[in-house]
Parts: sequence; C-alpha cells; structure tokens
Amino acid sequence: MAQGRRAGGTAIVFGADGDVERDTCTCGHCQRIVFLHGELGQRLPPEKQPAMCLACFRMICDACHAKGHCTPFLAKVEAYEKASERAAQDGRMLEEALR
Amino acid sequence: MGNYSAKMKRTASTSASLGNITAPAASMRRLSLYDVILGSEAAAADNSFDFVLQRCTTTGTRTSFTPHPLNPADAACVATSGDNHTVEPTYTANAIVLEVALNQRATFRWVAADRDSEIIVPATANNGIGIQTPTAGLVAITGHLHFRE
Repeated sequence: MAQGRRAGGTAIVFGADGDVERDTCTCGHCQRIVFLHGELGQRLPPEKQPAMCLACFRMICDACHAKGHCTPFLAKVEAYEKASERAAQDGRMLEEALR
Repeated sequence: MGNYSAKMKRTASTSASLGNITAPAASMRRLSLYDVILGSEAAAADNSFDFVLQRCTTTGTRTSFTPHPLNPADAACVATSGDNHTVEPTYTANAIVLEVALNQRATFRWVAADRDSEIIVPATANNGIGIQTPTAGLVAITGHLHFRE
C-alpha cells in the first residue's frame, strides 16, 4: 500500500473471470469509500492514492481534499444531530436549524 | 449494542432504489454499516449496473421490514429498513458513500476493517443510507447489509 497507509476495508468483486480484491479507505471527512487499487486489482501509483489530512491524520477523498480544510466526519454528525434536536424542539425545519 | 442484517431485493419495482436502512422517527440511535453485499439474482446476462450507496433524509414509500439481530440474544433493532420503493427516498445530493460499477454476472462485497472505517448514520429521524442503481431501474438486484447500532 502506498506510503505505508493502512487500509480501512476490503472490497471483493466475485466475477465471471475470477475474483478481484481491492483495499479501500473511508474518507475521514465525508465517509466516501475510496479504492486503493484499480479495477483489475493493480496497485495505484502514489499520485492517485487518496490524500492524508494533516490536521486529523485521516485519509480523505479527492473532493474533500480539494476543499482544503479539515472537518472530521464525527464533528459533522454531532453538529447535525444537535441541529436536528433543536429543530424538533423549536418546531422548525432541519434546514433552518442548520443555517 | 447489537449487530443486525438487512436483506433487500428489487424485483419489478419501477424505482431506482433497491432499498434503504434508516433511523426511526423517534428514539433514534446511530448505526454503523460494516458489511455490504451487492449482486443480481436475475438470469446470467451482460447488463451493467452502477450501484450507488447514498445518504437519504426520508424513508420514501417502501415495503418495510425489521432488520434481524445476528445474535438472537440481542434486542430488537431500532433502525428501520425497507425495499421495493414506489416513492424514492430523498437522497442528499453528492452524499455518495460508495459507488461501484458491476456486471450482472458479478457480486460485490465490501467489509470495513475497523470501526473507524464503518459508515455512520446519524441519530436523526428518518436519516439513513439507500442503495440505488440510477441507470438501470428494472433489473432484479439484491443487497445485504450488516450494521451495528
């Protein structure tokens, strides 16, 4: 695995032409599952591997990398759940509470 | 905390969704998805699918079922689940957690290696994760999810 990063999961395709196993990681900012190997199971070059956030030290997907800031997914979930509770208490729509 | 399984099947449904698992409307708990199996039970043929797991904020109109505890001693599952949608869930734009293109002859399995890699659904009413094939809505497909809550 590139740069010694530890995979966070495994994906296997059981196909007619044989099985293909690919390591995956889960983006630390949005939880998208990113493949660390190509569709034929080949190792991807380092420049195509997911980036690592230097604030939370989790691997992140290209879209989150492009945003350029660190918001760990659990922080987002906690904020979302609190906004949801506030919305329920105030009788507002969740979208309003999130603003 | 228990582990649960939910099996979903799309047969003659006209929706793109295969099914979804969602937090209930009240007494919600977070759930963590750690095992996903996707495939087709239709006769072998060379069709292609784009399986998408995407976050949703409503259940849609579906045939509901209660996920089954893997350990019979565990309490009943709080999360709700369903398949055969006639009205799609409200999918959150761009909140795609897994996208995989598959041939109909193939089966796909993803397993999280550790708890940091599991997909979390917030403890918010009717929020969850749905599975859909946006480009091929009429082919019979199945999905099997394992999660903990």
